[in-house]
Order: sequence, then C-alpha cells, then structure tokens
Amino acid sequence: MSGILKLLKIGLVRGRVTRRYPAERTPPPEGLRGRPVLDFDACIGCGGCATACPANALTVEEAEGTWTLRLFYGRCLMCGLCEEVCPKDAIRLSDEYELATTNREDLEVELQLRRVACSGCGKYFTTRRVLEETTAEYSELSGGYSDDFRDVITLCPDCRRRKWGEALADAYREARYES
Amino acid sequence: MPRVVEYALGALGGTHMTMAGTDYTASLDQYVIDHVLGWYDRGLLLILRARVRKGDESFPSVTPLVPCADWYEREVKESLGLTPVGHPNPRKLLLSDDWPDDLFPMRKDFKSEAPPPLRRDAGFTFTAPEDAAMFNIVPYGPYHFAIHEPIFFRFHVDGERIAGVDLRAGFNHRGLEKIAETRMTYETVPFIAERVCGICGSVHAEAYTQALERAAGFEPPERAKWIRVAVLEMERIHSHLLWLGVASHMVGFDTGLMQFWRVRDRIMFLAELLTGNRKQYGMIVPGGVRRDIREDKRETALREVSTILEEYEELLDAALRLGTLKARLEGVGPLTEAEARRHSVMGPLARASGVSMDARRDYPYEAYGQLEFETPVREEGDVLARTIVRAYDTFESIKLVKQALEGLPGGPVHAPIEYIPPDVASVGLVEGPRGTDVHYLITGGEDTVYRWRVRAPTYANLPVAPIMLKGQTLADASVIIGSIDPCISCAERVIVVDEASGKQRLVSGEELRGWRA
Repeated sequence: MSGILKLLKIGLVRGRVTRRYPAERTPPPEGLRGRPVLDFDACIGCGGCATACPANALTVEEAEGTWTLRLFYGRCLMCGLCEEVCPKDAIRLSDEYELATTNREDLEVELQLRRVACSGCGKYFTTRRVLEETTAEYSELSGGYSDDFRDVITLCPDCRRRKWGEALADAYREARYES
Repeated sequence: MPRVVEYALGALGGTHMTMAGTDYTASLDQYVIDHVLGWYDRGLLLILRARVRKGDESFPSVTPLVPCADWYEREVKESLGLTPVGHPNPRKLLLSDDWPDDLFPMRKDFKSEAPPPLRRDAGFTFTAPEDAAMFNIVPYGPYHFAIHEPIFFRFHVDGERIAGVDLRAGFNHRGLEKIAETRMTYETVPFIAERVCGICGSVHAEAYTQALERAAGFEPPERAKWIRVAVLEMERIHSHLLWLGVASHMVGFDTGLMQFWRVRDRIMFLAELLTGNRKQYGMIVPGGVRRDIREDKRETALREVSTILEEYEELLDAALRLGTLKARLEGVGPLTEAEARRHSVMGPLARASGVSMDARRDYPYEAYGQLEFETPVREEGDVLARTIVRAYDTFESIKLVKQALEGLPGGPVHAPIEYIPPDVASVGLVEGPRGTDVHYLITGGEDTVYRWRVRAPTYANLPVAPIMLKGQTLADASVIIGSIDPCISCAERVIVVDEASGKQRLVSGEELRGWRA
C-alpha cells in the first residue's frame, strides 16, 4: 500500500481525537500538580514554604504587628516543595490547571497573621500562631504549662539568650560563693 | 593549552564536551578555565585546567586550532572578562548588544539586583563573504517560525542558493547559572535546571543531580534509578515525536504534524499520570525521585506504552513510504563525519553522520547498564539520516520505558545525601534527545553550588548550522536548522537581559520595560 493510502487509513481509523475545549473538559488525573491553595486557618506563619520556594512565588514580609505571606501564581512552578515542607498541611497543590487571566491581581493571594511583641524589649518577633503552636506542643510533651515556660517563650530570641546568659552567670556566681 | 586540546581532540580522537570559566579571585587570586574532554569509545573523561592570574585577564585562544571552542571562549570573554588572545571572532554571543563592556556577570562580585546602565550606541557586526556586494541579504529570524525559538540568521543569497551565513544568538538569557550560584540551595537547583529547557527538562535535572551525587559519592536507591530511566526515556519519546511533527510541518507535510502529535499526546498523558504534569516532571532530585510509581499506575502505563508502540509503528511506516517526504529530506543539509568530529557535535546530528556516540551506552548512568537497547547510526549525514536516526531512536526509548517499568525493583525511592564536600569539581553526562547534555559542577560550602555550567547539546550543535546551510537553497533552510532540533533556550542561560534586536533597528531593554508597564 502506498504511503498516502496508509495515511488515509490512519486518519479514518483513528478519527478525531481533539476535544471541544473549553466546552468539553478532560478531568484532571489523580495527582496532578496544579495551583497551590492556601488554608488560611491552618497556616501558623513559620515561613518554611517561602524559604523552600525555588521561584520566589512565595514571599514573606514582616512588618510591626503583621506577618504577610504573598503567593503570586505568575511565578509558581507547581513544583510542590512548599507542600512538602509545610508542617501544618496549610498549602496544598490542587488539581486546578486553568490560570489564564487578563487581570494580574487574580494571580495574587495574600495571607496576613498577627505578630506578637517580645515581653522583654517590645520588639515584634514571631506570629501569635507559632507561639500558640509551640506552647501547645510543650504542654503536651511536659504534661502541663508552667510560668517559667511562659516567661521564656514570650521573649524574642535576643532577650531569651540574654536571660539564659544571665541565669547561667548567676548560677556560676552562686556556686563560687558557696564554695 | 591550545596545543594540548588540539592533540587530545585530533591525534587522540577525543570529543570536546564543555568548557567553563570560574572566578576564584576572592580566595586564590586567579580565574580557572576548565576544558572537559571525553572519549566515548573508552568511557573516559578528562578535565584540563588552566589558571589565569588576576590582573592579567587574558589567555591564549584555543579556537584557531579547535573550532568548537569558539562559543565557549566568547562566553568566557563576556561573562568573566577574560580575553582569548588570537580568537578569530571575538564578538558578543550571549549578552545583548547594549550590555556594558566592563561588566562581567559571572564574576563573584557582580550583583544582579539592579539592571545595569545600558549602552545606547551599541550594535552587532555581522560577518559577510568577501564578494558580499554580489549577493542579496535575507534576514531569517529573530524568531524561527516553526521551532518557535529566538535566533537570528542572516543569509547572503545568490538567487535561491545560500552563499554566506552568520547568526546571532542570545535573545533568551535568563541568568540561570548566576541565580543558582547566588540564590539557590542544592535541593532547589533541579527545579531551575528543569526550566533550562521546555522539552528536555528532566535531562537537565538529571545531569545536575548526577554531578552533585558524584561529588558527594552518593548512590541513589535502586528503585529510584529505574524510575529515572523511565522518566528520561518518556521525555525522549515525547521530544522525538514533537520533532518528527515539526519537521513534517517544515517541509509542508502537515498531516504528519497532526498525526505524530496525536501519538505524542499519549506520552504526555502517561507523563501526567506518573509525575503529575505533562511537562516539567519535577521527579529527579538529589537523593532519588520524588514520586513512587504505584502498582496500578504502572500497569496502566505499560498498557499505554504498547498502544503507543503500535500507533507509532503504523504511522512511521506510512510516513517513510512517502516519496515526496523523502525527496524533501534526502541529500539536504549535509554534514560529513570529519566535520562532525572536528566540531564535536552531539546526539542524532553526530549519529546521522556516522559518529557512534551515546552517553547511555558509553558512560552508563542510573540503570542503563542493566537494560538492553541499541544506538541507531547512519552514514549519509543528511536531514533524512537525522530523521531516521530519531525515528529509530524512538523505538529504543519505547523499549527502554517498557523494560524500566517491567523490571522495577522494590525499595525506597529516595535517600538523604548526608554530606556534600566543598570544592569538588564534578561532571554530569546525560544523553538527551538532542545529544549529550553536560553539566559541570563545582560544589561550594553552605549548601550552594560554587559554579554550575550547563552545556546543552544545542550549544555544541548550533555552530555547525552555517556549514550545513552553505550552498543549500533558501527553501530548505528551515528544515536544515530544524534538523539540529535546536533548543535555543537551552543554549542560552547566562544573564537576565531584556533585549530584542531586529533587522537593523535595536530595541533597547528600557523601551521593552516601558511597553510592559
């Protein structure tokens, strides 16, 4: 059979395979890496996703009383590293794949959390949710919540270091005095 | 250095794999230039290192003796500011015409935060044959109409015949190597590496990962190796079918375009099923792969592979019987074996000119050593031979995907890499659809690469385009350039520049930024 006839046969047998998109849609397969979706209630504001993001689609901005996570889908690679590192499953890849838009703002998501101030120096240092999360974990591990712990955890890392340093110095002085 | 490289390539029959310049001025007061040479028939690699003292920013050019060093040395000149003395053609290659002459992006002290002050008076000088006045000039580009890639050719034609060719590349820099050195960690580079190319992304991720794992002395788990082979071969099938479609289109055989792409869509579906995306699989990472292949998915995939084989066989048989298709490809764009060797071209381009080279066979990586496949080689050196090499290569890939999925061993798919020593130079070699992809890596401290040099096969293959085009007709130019299966975005990856140069007029980056706003 000549090539032309064979091609004709292929055309007839295989038929039309294109679909009338967007009227006719193919369901996305299981496990598709589509648009990442944020769970506003679950996010505690650790910022791990922004650190992991290779494309800087996720960025964190820290201001006085607020912590802001921005997700810009225009830069997103759908790699899923954010999903892998998130400790609270607050960011998940969905199976949405249609991101085309004429309006840039449609591609931006912003999540804002409240930050807390250090009980020592008054500097804002972490989100309230991270603090709550740490407290809950500590209480579970130690079987209770102590005032000592609250004194420490409400301090920013700098003040905490100073506090421990001072405590150590005190203990050292005391030990020397006793001997 | 020039004589050593010439001897190694000429008398000893080596292949030039890549060359990288690295800035060590901060720690050692010097720059280094590394040539990576390979002997496919023996599975050997050789790194030759030359030092360039700080303050004396020049080195003897290798290009007059070894023509394939041309692009590498031009790149070192513009990115590191080291002048190749005696280079016959020291024009800009990757950076835009209006990039300042005294700013070198790959130097370690170059910060890429703000756009540099651009030169307004710059232009690019094209070469012309000596009797240029006798010919007409035909501009071709800066956008290839069929492969949709930005490259500009300038033909001197005598009627239909092409008498002289010059090309300007460099419209598509994104500065990936610099980004990797300054902003990325070992873990995130594969995702940027994958974006080097829209077609053979996994090849780049694999080449980088291989270089890194070699530097760390790390062996990925067995199952991961087999999955990597399946992913890489799936990508090759998709790439070759894409090319067969586009090549058909370039010679006016649009039924071929539609039908090859119909078959190709099945492999895209398969990729989506196994990796979560039609392209940019995101599978290969240091330590293994990110997704396991579940048993039910494996069975679906194997069924799908048989269907692909059946439909592809039927279609290729019909296409190769077409006299008109053969007539358009036979004898077009010839490249002799001697020229192919002299220019160290890679992949199907070399294999269609009688050079038997295949990194999968000669430098076995992952599970390739345990799998059965052949490397199709043709002697004719024309576009038809390149078509046939790719067409038969596709069968081998289908066979490989089948073997990899059938023989998939058990076990984990990922293991952590405990320690990556600093200052280790390492090479990753992957046989991509277009030829051997070479990544040259120098590890740094603090979880970042010190130098990452991506040498995509097109970087080695494109410089021979003028040789293949000379004396051919203008109508065949498209398919001759296309027969390299060029991937321009692969070949260009060094610095972020917004610039587009048209026929005569230059549009500056500032203007472009204005349009965007």
